[in-house]
Formats: sequence, C-alpha cells, structure tokens
Amino acid sequence: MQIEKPENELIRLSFLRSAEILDTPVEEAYERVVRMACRVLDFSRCAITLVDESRLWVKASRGMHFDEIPRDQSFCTHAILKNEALVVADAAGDERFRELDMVQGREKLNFYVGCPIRISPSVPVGMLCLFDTEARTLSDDELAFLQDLADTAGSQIKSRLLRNVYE
Amino acid sequence: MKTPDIPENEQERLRSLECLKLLDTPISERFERITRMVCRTLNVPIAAVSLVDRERQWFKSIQGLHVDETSRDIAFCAHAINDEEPFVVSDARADARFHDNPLVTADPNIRSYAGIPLAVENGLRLGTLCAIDTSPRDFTPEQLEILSDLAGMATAELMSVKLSEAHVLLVAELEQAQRAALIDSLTRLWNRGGAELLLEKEWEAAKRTNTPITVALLDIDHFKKVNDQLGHAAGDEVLRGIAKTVLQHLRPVDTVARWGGEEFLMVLPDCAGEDAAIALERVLTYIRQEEFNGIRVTASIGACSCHPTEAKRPASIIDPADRSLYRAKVDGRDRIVFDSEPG
Repeated sequence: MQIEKPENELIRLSFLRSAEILDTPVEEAYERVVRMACRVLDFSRCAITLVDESRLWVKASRGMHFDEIPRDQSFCTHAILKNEALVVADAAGDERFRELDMVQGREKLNFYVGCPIRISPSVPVGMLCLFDTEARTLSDDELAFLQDLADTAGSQIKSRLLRNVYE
Repeated sequence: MKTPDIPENEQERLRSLECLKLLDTPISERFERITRMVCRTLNVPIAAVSLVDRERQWFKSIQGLHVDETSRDIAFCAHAINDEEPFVVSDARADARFHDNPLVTADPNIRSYAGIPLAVENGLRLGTLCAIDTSPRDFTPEQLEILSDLAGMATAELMSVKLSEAHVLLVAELEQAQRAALIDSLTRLWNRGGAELLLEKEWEAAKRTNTPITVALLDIDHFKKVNDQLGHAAGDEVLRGIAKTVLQHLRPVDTVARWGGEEFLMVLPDCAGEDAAIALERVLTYIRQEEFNGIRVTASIGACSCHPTEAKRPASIIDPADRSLYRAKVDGRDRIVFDSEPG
C-alpha cells in the first residue's frame, strides 16, 4: 500500500537511525513517560512509537499487543504528516483508519490520540499515543500535558543522537 | 526551627554539583517543562527544581514563585536531600521542625511540601524536585509516584548536556559570580551583557563550521500601555511570561535573552531562510494565543540571517535586525520583518 510520507522523510529517517534507538531493549526513561501518560490521563493503552521506513516500532508501551507492525497498519504514520497532535474519535467511521487491523480486529481500538515526538521542531520521529475502545475526550490542558510528555521523550532521543554524533 | 543536617558526603556532593555547571544559569525549557508538569498533575501552585549548594538552595526552575534562591538553613529541600525517600510535610504549621520557619510564617506561606531528592551517581543527592502548597494537604501514594517519575526525568535532564556548544563553553569559562551578573533577575534569561558574550561565541562557532546564523529582536507591542494601565507588577508578569513562552517554542540550541526593557534577543545557530521564518512565526503565534495573567499581547520581530565571515562583526547583524524591527512596528506590529544578508 502506498504510504504518504512527510516532505522531510529522508532527514527524518537519517536522524532516527543515528539515534540508534530502534530495536533496543526496554529503558526506564521511556517506560516512565508511558506510565505517567496512563496514570495521569487514565488510559490503559499507551505507546511510544517510532515510525521507521516501512514499519512502526514500539519503544515502550502498556496494554498494547504488538512491538512492531507494518507502517501502513498504523495511525502514527498519518499523525507525523502534519507534525501536530492527532485525535481520532471514531476510527471505524474514518476512511483513513477503518481498515486497520487494530481497529477491525479483536481489540477494536476505535479511539486514538497522539502527540508527535520530535528531535527538533520540524522532525517528528514517532508519536506518544493513547488508545481506547470507546470515545474519550481530552481537554486542551490534558493535550498540552501529553505534548509535554512527548517532548520529554523527544528530548531524551535527541540526547542520544547528539552523544552518538559527537563520540 | 530545625536547621537541616549536612549529608555525610557533602564535599563530594558539592564537587558533583559544581561539575554540572548548572548553578546561576538562565532558565531552560527542559526543566521548565518538568515543574510545569508537577503543577498540573499534583494541582499545586508552586513547584521547583532546587539545587542545594553550600550555603543556599538555588532554583534551576520554579513555577508560582518569583525567587531565585533562599539560604540553606530555611530550605525544606535541604532536609529532603538527607534521605533517599520522598520528604513530605502535610502541615508545616503543625510540624515542630518548620512551624516557625520564615517561609511558613510569612510569604510564600508554605503549608505543605513534597520533595523527591535528585540523585546523580554514587547516591549524591544534589537537590530536589518539589511540590509546594499554601494549604495543608496529604500527598497520596499515587501522587508521590507521579512526583518520583517526574524527578526521574529531572535527574535525566541534569545528566545530559543539551545546550549549544557556545552556551556550554560560555558557562564553563565564567566563574559562578560572573555568571550571576550576566543573568537578568526578572526573567532569569541572559541579560544584555550575557547575550553579547553568547553572540560572540555563536558567531565564532558559525564561522568555524561555515553555517548561517539568525538573530532576531522581539519587542512587545504597546508594552508601555500595559505598565501604565495595569501597573508594573502586571508588566513584570507579561515579561516573565513572554520569556517562558519564547523559551518553550525555540529549539534547545537557540538562545533567548533579555536585551532591553521590553526587548528580547534571539540567536538561532545554524538556521536561516525558511527555517528561521517558520521558527519565529511559531513564536509569534504562541505569544498571540497565550494569556499572561489574563493579559493578551502581541509582539513585533525584526530578524536578520547571515553567514559570518572574517570581515563582519556580530554587531553587523544586530543593526539590520533592529532596522527590521522598526519596520515591523511601522508596518502595523504583530509581525516579523526579515532583513537579507547585510551588505
């Protein structure tokens, strides 16, 4: 399936690769972010995802049933196009997402909210996202909090990138 | 009042703190974000990242209170660093250790406190992440866990160097006392003197790496009116708010400094053209959307990008930025005007 990619896809992938974070073990720094998101916003499913060339790879998660899925099976690949928060209130009713395995399948994840994880303001490498089976509402304040958490994760990934580049 | 004990590893602790080169530095978004999250998640008016120095506690970041530091002997955080567990005081007035503490009996009237020590390697506790309320309260185990997680993030930030190389060099070269003199006390950004030094360093770095640099002057529109109509305290709140908002929406390597009364200088290394325009437009957008203690303002920006060369001096980029700022004001304010490479 043809995936729409952001304009800066090449730079984006280059940064992601240089951060050497794909295919790495669980790390407390990222688990912590997921834990906070779940706890404070009251969700049981949360993930820090990284959008790679043809897959979505999960760095940290709670209540999710996959570590990796094809890129075209994700909400996140769409979310990074606009580099801003994405809220999908009814995935089954949205032609972009209704065919996704996680929407159609056993889990029936019908609600998605994600905030971009950025290495620099115009380079989103993935998303901090929350899922539910039913519709949820998030206030502006709660969305701002989620973005702050996403920025914390982004900050950590950037540190990693800089360390790799300077060493 | 009980004065805080001095930890056993105090000398080692102070050395470690000194190595971080964080004392007497301007505020930075990566810590502002964390204290902001404390206020939001725990619903407290005051939150801080406090570093406990020899004779004082100094706040790297503080929300809800405009204080840079206090003496060590009245600091709750100085008690907190003596143990690895969270330090909680539910009602300071009912606590023999604190009931006559000046921070409790007078402004800011601390009534309850929860502090998590920030420990770097070897269990050296350099300071705390703390939540403070002006009413008595219990902190639930859930809230303490959230605060602990945020403290974990704060510790991670303490350990990582994120600023531009120029900024790091500048901070390292200056003695603590010199640094303190280059920081604006109201906004806790670099002041004009600090900004000039930093611009010199960024200029050198840009020459060395053959990269462009963008300098922008931001001036708050109709600021005199805010002061005249609403008073200086209100004006100060706007200045502080603008400082934090600009910081929040620039990259970690960018610098924002207080250049004048209501004027700020932004230095964006390795940035020009479209990227610079987008970055500065974003800053203006957020300023427009924000309410600073109920007050809305707009700002005008004059910017200039160039490739530093041997022939040009940093001052040569500020003048065009200043002229562009003037242009922005004349053209109606609440906008950005760019100058091209100075001739």
